[in-house]
Amino acid sequence: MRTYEVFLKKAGRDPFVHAGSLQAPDPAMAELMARESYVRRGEGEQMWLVDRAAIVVADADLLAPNADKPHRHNDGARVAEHRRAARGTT
Amino acid sequence: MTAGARALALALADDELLMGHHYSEWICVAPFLEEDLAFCSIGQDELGHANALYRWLLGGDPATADLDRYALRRPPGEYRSAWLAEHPTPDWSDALVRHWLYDTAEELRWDALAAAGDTDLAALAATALRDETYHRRHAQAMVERLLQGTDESRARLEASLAALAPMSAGLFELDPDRYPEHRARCRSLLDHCDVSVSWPDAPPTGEGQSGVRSPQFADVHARMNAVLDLDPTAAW
Repeated sequence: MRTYEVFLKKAGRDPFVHAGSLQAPDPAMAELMARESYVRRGEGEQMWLVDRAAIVVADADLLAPNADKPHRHNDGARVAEHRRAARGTT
Repeated sequence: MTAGARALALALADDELLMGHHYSEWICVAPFLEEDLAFCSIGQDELGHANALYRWLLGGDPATADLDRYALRRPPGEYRSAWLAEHPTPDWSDALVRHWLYDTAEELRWDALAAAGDTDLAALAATALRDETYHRRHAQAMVERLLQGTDESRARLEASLAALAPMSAGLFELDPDRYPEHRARCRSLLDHCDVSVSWPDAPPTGEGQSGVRSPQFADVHARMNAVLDLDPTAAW
């Protein structure tokens, strides 16, 4: 038996969302099983199944240094702050 | 010579009711979780088909109580279920093989109803056939893998096939002309898996679809009525 991760997407602009996982002997069975385990109520119009062995799991240490780099932020917070100061409403 | 649409519809409705019940008895006790869910979903679909067929048979917009009575409370001789559907299958291999035999036949039985000349019935059949495509895919996938799995899985399925495949002919008692196609479809998968089964030449007569109940019917009928029997006048 192999483990598959299930991703579902509704119609429209929302991305695929991870719905859960299941075990099955092969991709064809995984499709049939996932349909009954995760899409009984039409939770998605599209379904992707990914063999867990195909997933690359990154180390937390690889990502952690980038959590403390405010000079890279692009959400406009600093600009907004300057403009508030200029308006005199800090 | 084929029975009329009403006779075929009643036979199918009674089988769907029984099969829906049988599938439900595997909830929480199927071999693995995903199969548990699949069986329960398939059973729910079949009960939905039974409900729709009973509605069509009663005509108009029957009240729930009338549907329940019609489905569950007829005297045994008024049912038209096939003996395969009345049969208990406490062994998983039997349950799975019956699922495959029954759902292979079911597509042909819906085809017959779709061709019977009633637009409502044809619309019902079209909806049911969408479910059946999936049911058949599921059954075929499981049976094929187990026939080609281990010595044990093959032996167990072969034993179930030997016992149950001949009984599946009874699903065509009222529509014997469709039986050869059912047998051919089953043989197609079995040949692919190198399994041979002994099939009857023709469906039986004087069995379930003629109104004769098998000895196993009383038991499953009583279990289906067990909750309603606790308080027949309860409002649900």
